[in-house]
Amino acid sequence: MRHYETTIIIAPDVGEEGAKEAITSIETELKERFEGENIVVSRWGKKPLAYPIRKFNEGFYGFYEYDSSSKSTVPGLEARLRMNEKVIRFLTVRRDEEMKSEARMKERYAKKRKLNEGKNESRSESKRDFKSEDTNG
Amino acid sequence: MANAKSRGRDNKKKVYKKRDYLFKRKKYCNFCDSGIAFIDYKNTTLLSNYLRERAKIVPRRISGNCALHQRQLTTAIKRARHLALLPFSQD
Repeated sequence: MRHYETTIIIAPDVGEEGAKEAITSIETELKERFEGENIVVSRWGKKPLAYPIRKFNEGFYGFYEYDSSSKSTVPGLEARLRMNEKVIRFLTVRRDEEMKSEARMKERYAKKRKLNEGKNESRSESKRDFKSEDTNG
Repeated sequence: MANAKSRGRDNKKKVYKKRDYLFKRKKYCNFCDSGIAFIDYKNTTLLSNYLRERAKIVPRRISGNCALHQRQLTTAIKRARHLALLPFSQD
């Protein structure tokens, strides 16, 4: 089972209703045709783009989180997104490996924090002290 | 002669030490310090702290990030750029 994140940008000329429809239709397709499981959808709404894409300066963002154990999920979905004229940009990221390393690092940080509890001094704190001294002097 | 030479060297050493003390400050990785285990490409406010005026990525020698977090940061910034959350360049 792999965990994926897909973000899509929908062209602004379809309007708010059109963008909503497009995002939900992609969700149902992901669920029924491409064997996506545990799908979580979030809509970020209309956002300005950092640079124009297809001469558009803003777009509706849709974000999907899902699991899948089928190898054809992501290629299938991406092929559909490429065909879809409303979608001007998409990005799929596989997150399961990253989440594993994230958990490992969190453990390490927790251990370190325990070790440093007695010392009770993080670097940022000492830096802050240094700054305040500076301003006083 | 020998005396003057040695004195000169001593002076040089002293000056260098003072400069060292004045200009070099120990850098540290902000992400390690605050315990961030994964740098998210959706968090543009965080990522934009590590972009220069021209939207280039700030090098490690300036920001002081550790190798691991710098690697995470660059991939995150590149993902955000693809999604037009961050610019590739700015004038």
